[in-house]
Amino acid sequence: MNFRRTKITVNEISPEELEAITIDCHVIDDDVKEIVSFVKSRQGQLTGKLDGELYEISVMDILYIESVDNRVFMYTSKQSYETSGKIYELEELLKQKHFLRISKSSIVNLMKIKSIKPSLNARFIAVLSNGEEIMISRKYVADLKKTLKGGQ
Amino acid sequence: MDIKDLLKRAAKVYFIIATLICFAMYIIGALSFPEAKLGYEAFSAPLLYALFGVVPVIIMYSSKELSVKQFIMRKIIQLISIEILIFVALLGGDYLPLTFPVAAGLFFLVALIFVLEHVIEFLLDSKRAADLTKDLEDYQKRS
Repeated sequence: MNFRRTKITVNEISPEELEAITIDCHVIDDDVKEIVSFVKSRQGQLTGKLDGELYEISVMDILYIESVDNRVFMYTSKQSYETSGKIYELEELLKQKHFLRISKSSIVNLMKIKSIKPSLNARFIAVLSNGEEIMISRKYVADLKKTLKGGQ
Repeated sequence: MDIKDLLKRAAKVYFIIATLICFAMYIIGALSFPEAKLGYEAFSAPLLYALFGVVPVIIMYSSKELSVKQFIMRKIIQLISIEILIFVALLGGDYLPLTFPVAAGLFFLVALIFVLEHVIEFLLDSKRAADLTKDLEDYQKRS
């Protein structure tokens, strides 16, 4: 197993100066992309791929994120973008940005749910702001209720 | 639905079915056998038959989420299993004469209780969904 030997330097700067992160690396590989993705998500942005092009998507615009056949997609009201992140990583990353796991394969932006209704197959349905409907597994309903009531 | 959810659901379904059987016994008894006198064992009947009604809930167990089509198929199998269990228990035990009107009445009664149980469950889920929507609106206002 190869480990990177990376020097990490954190400098405190005055409030007048612009905060910046620079990564000096030999190759922009998946590890580096993951770090960049993490930093961007902390700033409220995620990188998504659409038709081979990379786009910066504001977290606030994402309705939900879903894993389909080992690929992860972020859905906005207009487009769906593929992301290299794993669903459990995104769940952790976006916990503080009002995102919550609602099924084994999806996390939803709680700020984009318009209403919740029961489903025929003993589950619940989240109706999103664009009218789209996604399933909420019964297993995650207790977590949803706890989060909505102010718990973590 | 995982095993914990299944057991929770089975408990809820059991009490709903027991109540519905009590109600059915009252209606049918009052209409068909108004003069009949029953012993204390009559109280155990709803509890026992509710058990027959709830055992096939195991059919709904799946480690994966069921699609609507799979869910409906399993519900049909569940209803057939309940019908068979109730028929075997009631008619096999010589409690009722096996005539066509009795068998048809029993079939429809079991189906009616099955449907009513699902209607009650759906209404309870609707209430829960309405509460969640209210909590969601409060959450969105707070955030």
